[in-house]
Amino acid sequence: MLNIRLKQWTVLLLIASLVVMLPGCGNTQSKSEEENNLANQKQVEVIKLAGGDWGYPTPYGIYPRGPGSRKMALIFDSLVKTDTDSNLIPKLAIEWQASDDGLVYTLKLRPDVKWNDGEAFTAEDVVFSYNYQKTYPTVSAADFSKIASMEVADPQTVKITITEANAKFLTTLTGFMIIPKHVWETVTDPNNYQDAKAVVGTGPYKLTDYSKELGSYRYVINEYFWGSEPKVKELKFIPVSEEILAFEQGDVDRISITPDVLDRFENNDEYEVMQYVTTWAYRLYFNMNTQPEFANVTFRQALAYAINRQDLVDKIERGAAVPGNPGVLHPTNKLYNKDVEQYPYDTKKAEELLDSIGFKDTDGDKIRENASGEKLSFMLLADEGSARLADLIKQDLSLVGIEINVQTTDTKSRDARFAAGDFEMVINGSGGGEDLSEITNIKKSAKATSTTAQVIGYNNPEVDRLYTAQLNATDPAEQLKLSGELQSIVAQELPKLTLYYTNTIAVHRPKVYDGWSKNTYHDDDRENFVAD
Amino acid sequence: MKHNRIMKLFEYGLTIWIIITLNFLLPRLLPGDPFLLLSSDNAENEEIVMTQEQRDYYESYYGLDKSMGEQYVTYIGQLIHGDLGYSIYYKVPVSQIILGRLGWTAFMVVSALAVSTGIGVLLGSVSAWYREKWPDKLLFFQMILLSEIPVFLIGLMILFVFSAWLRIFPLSGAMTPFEDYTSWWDQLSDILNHAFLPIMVLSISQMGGIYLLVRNSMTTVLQKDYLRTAKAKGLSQKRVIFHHALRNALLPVVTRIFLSLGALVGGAILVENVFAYPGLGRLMRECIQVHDYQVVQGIFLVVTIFVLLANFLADTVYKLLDPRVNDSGKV
Repeated sequence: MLNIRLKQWTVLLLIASLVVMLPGCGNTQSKSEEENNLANQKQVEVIKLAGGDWGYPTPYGIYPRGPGSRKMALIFDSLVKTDTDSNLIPKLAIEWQASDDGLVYTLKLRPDVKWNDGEAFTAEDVVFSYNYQKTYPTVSAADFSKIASMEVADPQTVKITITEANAKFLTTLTGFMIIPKHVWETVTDPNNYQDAKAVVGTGPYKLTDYSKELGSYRYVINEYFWGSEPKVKELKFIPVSEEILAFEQGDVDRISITPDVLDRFENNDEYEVMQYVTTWAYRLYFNMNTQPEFANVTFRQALAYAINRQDLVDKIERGAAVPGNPGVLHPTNKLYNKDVEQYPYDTKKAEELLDSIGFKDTDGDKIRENASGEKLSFMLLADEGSARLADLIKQDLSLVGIEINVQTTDTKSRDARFAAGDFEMVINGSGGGEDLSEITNIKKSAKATSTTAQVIGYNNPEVDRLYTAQLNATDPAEQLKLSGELQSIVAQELPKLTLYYTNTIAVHRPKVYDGWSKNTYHDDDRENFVAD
Repeated sequence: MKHNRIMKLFEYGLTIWIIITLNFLLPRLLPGDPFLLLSSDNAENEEIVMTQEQRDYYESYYGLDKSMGEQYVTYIGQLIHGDLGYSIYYKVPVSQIILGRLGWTAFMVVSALAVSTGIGVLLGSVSAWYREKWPDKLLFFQMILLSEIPVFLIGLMILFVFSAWLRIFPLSGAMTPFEDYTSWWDQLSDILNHAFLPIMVLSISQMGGIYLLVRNSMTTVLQKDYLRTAKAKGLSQKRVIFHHALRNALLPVVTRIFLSLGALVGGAILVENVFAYPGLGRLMRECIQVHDYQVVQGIFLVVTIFVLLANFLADTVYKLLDPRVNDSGKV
């Protein structure tokens, strides 16, 4: 009996091996325009991208880490958004006006907008979304702390009263996603609401399939969409085990690659490589509370001279990165001040500085001692992803007589110890907005990003003053000047050291689709498919 | 007799309770919590960082602000009602996620069990028959070699050869996404096509153990008098091995099959991650990364119950097959 069953199984599996499928190789798509421009891009039927489960694409269903928020933004709209230069762009709101005292904002809504189930969109939905999301915060909650009230002025107008004048108030609304009142008003547990109606939105696409197990999504054009016709009729996100293999076989149409495989795709007509600068950076933090040496600004400056940031870029990222700016902001930031102290790699200078504060090697073991005769030896905490970086820093610092012991943990443990101040030095890699509030003692009511994780033990009232002043500056020139001053101090005092900003490299087949945005490296961002 | 059975039940109960308690404690002893995100892996995966207010809200929403003792009591209470709780990360009931994934893992594990047992028994018998001759030596060497290569390495090699280079099998997943199947046969062949390589890899990793066991057991049986009689009767080689000897040699194999379920589930975790196969193993890796205590607990519990069940079945089946084994388990 057992033998017969086994035979049946074996036969079944043998049959399965015969039913083979050759994934589509060879592209027969028509030649598209030379220009990599969304406006000139012809509409294509379908684009396939690497999937994975990032949650049900509602403001409540997405997972906090990863690309869930962009999967959601294919369906939902905010009132306004910002472009790469931080200028406001209209979305569901088309006009806005602040009162003379700056406390009341009147927003005119886009007329004739419909939800993808055919219902009309009105000011009621906006005010409902605000009240609802105040009670039940979304995964990526907008900052409502400055809003005193929001009310319907007429069906096409919303009036927002804020607690204190803030020239940048509207930019805090970019993450405020508008949800339909007629769907959500009866929902009391939004975190677990995964009905088909939960994905009713006003955005360019609507969801037709989602599989949590398989990690797949399928979107088609929302025929009620208020904006221009999307250039891709159907978006498919499919599970992928090996991205490069999947891309080479045509299973997916675009991937991100690391610099070491760049050679495979460069100088090949079939592929086009696009490189993006990002604000995602590795930064080095010092614990000034537990290690008094770090509280000494000259010591931190010596470290900046001793760590070869260009070398880190060359060795780890093969040149596909931008060396860190001691003034923290990325060189492409519109507030960037290029005249700050740069600390070019200079071991001699570093040694002079260390000598000047009395950190000398007195016992001839090539490691310097501090004033009380203790060795200059520090624990550098890193996660697995930054372990090589930590090793290179260790080498650099050993050349100037500072001993580093690298401790590698998993990401979550590193995060927990970083947050708790349980480290001597730590490397943190993160993206998001650059704000500089982390070096101030101003209580953050706005959303904290990891880039702005609090620097421990640093305190400078002048920094606090300049930070507040530039934040509230209404005149762009004034803001530029104040922020420039702030960056000079930051570069001088180095509360944290930016090691480098990574570049992201993406590769696609221009024959399949060539509308990929130059502004965003996220291949699931709606900017790649819809001209706003 | 009755007393023994009650003792046995009590043993199983105690094991389950200890494991439930460990399941509860271990994930919570990991540093960090589900809502603390300070970093991201790379520029493609930007993180959403919560404010303290948001973290407080979610902690109380999931009851994580309560003391460990209270959480433990709540957890046990829920379990008694058959409720595995809600996933923090996936935002659906844990039982729903696990059920969605369990089928794929079970399918893979059971198929691999069948394939590895089938091939292992066959090759083990052949080896025993030709003991110390070249077919035995060759098989023995190959089997030892295969069972020593880590399963993920076999997986990667097979993935590169059959999927990337020869392009005979799909690279990943369990089904072609969004496929509109015209018949059940289409769907079945698609599923088998995707499952073939993972099952093969898992089978290869388990085959060696079964092979060695059958080879040894068979060698012992082949020296018995009744087989000499069978051979002397002039029966064919095939009939002697598969009809007379195998039946008697299979007894330890049956136990081994059930006991190897644990190892298979362990192997499945690695294989699923290599092939992006949507089973429990892949789920486990994902939810440990994001510290989703509820799901980790759920998976451990389900796996534990399955392994205990397999042990219980092994006990029972062995008793049925071999009357010499009595209730106290002594021969």
